[in-house]
Amino acid sequence: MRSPVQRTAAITAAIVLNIFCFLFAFCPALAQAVAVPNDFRVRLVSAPLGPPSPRDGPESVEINGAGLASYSLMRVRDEELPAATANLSRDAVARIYKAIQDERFFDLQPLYRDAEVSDGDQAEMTVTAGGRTFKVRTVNMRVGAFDRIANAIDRELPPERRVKYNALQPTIDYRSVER
Amino acid sequence: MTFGRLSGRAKVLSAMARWTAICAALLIGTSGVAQAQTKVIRDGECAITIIIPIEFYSQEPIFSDTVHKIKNQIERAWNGPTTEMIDHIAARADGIQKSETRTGAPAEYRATDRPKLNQLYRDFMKLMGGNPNCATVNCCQICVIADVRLRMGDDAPKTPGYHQIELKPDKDKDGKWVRSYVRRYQLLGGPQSTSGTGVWNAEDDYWPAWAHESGHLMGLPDHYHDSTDENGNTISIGDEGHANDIMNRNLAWPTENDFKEILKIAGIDITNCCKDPTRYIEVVNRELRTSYTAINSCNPDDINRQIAVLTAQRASIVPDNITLPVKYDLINSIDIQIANLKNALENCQPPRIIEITYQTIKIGIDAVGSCDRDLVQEVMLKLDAERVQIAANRSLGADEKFDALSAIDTMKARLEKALQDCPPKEAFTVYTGFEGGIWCTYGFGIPLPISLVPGDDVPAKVDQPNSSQYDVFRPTTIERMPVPAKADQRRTPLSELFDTNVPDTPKLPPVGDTPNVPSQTPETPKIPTAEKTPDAPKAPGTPKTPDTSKTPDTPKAPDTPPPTTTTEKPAPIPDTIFVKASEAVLQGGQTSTPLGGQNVKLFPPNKPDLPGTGIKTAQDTGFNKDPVECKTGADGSCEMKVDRNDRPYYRLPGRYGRPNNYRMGVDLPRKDGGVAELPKDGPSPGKPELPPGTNAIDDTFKIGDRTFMRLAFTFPYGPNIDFHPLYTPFLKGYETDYCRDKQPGPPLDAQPEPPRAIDNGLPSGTVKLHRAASRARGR
Repeated sequence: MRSPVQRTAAITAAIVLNIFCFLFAFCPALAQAVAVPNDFRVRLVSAPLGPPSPRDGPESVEINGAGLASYSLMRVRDEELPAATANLSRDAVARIYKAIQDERFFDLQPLYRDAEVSDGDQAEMTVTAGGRTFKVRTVNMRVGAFDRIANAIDRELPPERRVKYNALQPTIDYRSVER
Repeated sequence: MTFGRLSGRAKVLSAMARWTAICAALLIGTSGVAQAQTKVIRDGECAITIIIPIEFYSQEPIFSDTVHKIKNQIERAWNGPTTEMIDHIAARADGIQKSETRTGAPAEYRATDRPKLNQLYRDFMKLMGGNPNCATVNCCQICVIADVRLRMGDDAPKTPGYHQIELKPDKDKDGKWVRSYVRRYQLLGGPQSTSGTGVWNAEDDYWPAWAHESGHLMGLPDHYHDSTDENGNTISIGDEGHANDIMNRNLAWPTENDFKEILKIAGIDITNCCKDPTRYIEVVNRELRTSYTAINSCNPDDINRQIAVLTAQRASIVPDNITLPVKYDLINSIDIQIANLKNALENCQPPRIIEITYQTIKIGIDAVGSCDRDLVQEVMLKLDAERVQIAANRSLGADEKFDALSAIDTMKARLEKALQDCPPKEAFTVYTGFEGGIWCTYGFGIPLPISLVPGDDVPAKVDQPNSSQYDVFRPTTIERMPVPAKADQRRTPLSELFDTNVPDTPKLPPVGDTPNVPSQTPETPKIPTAEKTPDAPKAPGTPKTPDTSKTPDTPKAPDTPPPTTTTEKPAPIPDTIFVKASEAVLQGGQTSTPLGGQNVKLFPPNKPDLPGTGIKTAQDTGFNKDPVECKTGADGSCEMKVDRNDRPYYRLPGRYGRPNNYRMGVDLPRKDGGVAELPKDGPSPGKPELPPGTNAIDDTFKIGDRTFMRLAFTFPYGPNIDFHPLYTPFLKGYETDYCRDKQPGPPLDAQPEPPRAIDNGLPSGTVKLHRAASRARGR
């Protein structure tokens, strides 16, 4: 027979162990956060093609490994948001980095373009990690792998600072490729 | 869920547009397909219609107003000016600038200037009587019609022949833009599709891409390309030469090449319906340059003539088929120059004639002060001529004209008075010609200075003191001209040149009391030769205005111009010159005897102008009277009558209101002459010693290659002199003049030219000598 003190200590240890095991088992991002390279940097730019508008120019966000996000001047509805910076959590950075890894960004083609579409817009993503830098540009095309990374980035940003482009709109009838 | 709502008016408009398109396609023979469903129809050699059928649908609620906003924007953009036209308009408009809005991008017109440029174009087209609702390329009218309709729901059947465009809200749920695009897979002969040819923003009216996107529906490609901005972002910038092409950016204009490309896709060649404008350009440029000369001359006649010429040219250019940008430049230049000319008319006031008269009056004031009778009379003549010009000048205001004429009359009265008050010389010199009635006593056409002695006899009758001094030049009809609006810019009236300091008599003129007039002539303003006259030049310097209260002699200007009607008035009594001609004898000889049969003529020292041709009588400043002459009787005397108005011409002293008598005594010599042929290439002939009192005048003339010498002699009456033996040793074949009576010439052998000159007293006729028929036959 254990004394009540012993029973309490055993229960406490079990709870702590379970919590640790839960966290270890169900939060892989945390597990991988430590794997984000020091030189990690991602930049996502959306820009219209063709007739420019003072209310619709290039918009971009750049996030580094430390979680510093730099926003360009952006336009939301009738409001103009000035260029700004914000700090993302390490987990958020880790999730973005994981998406890049999962989608094998460095294996994408540098350019996806539907030549039959005039005007519309484009997205451009540049990733630096582990000493490599790679840029991919999509023009009026859905590129599954690319767009999922963009969505992963946008999920970590406040709605008004998200970088959007036509291919992310579900109802746009763009041609679609996986990668 | 899909919505589609059309108002009743929109339905009617939409139906009309469709029917227009269908009917046009059926009725017009020539048509082509530029891009899938877009139709290009040739309505005539120089008229083309482009119809863009567009069917809109949406998965969101959408209103028919949006569809019609789209239609309006497309049609306004494509039926307006071309980029080329805008370039011409902008080059001549104030405050229009191009700016580089993006890195490396060609200069574009500012969006804020767009409404102004479009309005200038519409104004111009309205002025030309052209159609501002269609484009004009190569003098062809190209009308673009957006045949729009709204499909009632995404799942409703698509209308064949219509581009299918989905309208989306301009922002997504995060407030981010949806960017318009057009899928062009029908281009270049691809399979025609009626499904999903594009997505346009439905509320894109601030910076709408609709007009640009419709260019794609007509088959045009984009005219921009990728570039990189300073942040490394990929952006679009206009292709070289397409900075202001609507296919580069929406807030620009279609280029002529855009239209040509659309027609080319449709297999239609655009006809050049324009005339070659070279001739117009040359003619207009010449007149524009001439206009600058007129402007700088400040001559109202020249300026008005140029205004008339340019106005006529403008009227001929407006309806003619000249390429629109060139027509714009021509009309714009003409308008600017006409404005400059009108500006010159206004700012060259007072006209130059007033400035000249201003100076003449100043000289007249000096002449009165100096008692210089010659100068006084010279000024009187000058004022007479200027009076005529001023009276005929139509660019002068009535008040100013009246003032000038009054000033002239006042000045002339003072000059007359000066002639009266200035003591005349005891003898005047007038120029007189004499000739005898027989050939050998003709004079030599040389006026001789003869002394004229004032006589004592004065006729009893004296003119009415208030009668006009000069009847020759009367004011012509003075039209009531509008009084200049800027009263402060009017020059000081000429009549105010006279104040109490002006000497009324020749005894006054202390230098310090000279009239209070400016010492220099005000400069007439020059119109700048720049294309535009920016501001009205300053009015000429105004002379210092004397105190008008000190001008008792200045006639008051009545409210109305001088009366224009004239009444017949008895001619004033002329001056009389009593001539006494005697035979000249050697000094110390016997007393001279009267010389009868001598024609005596008075010559003006300065030959007056003959009446000009093509000049109105009122402006004629020449002299159109017979000469003053008489013929001596057996007692050697005769009388010459001189109209008092003509006194200045002969330098006779003027006397206010009364005739003068003069005596002229002249001793005339005998005359003789002869002629001899000079030897060819020989030395100059010698001269004999002539008797005392004899003068010889020689002159040579040529007939063919032969040279002759004409000799004329004057010598005193007394013993006869035979010049033949005197000259024969020097001039072989010398012949003395025959001395016989005047005989009329044979018919048609000598006639004046023109024939009516035979009635003229002045020697203005030309004598034509015909060769004798018999001699002509003998050769």
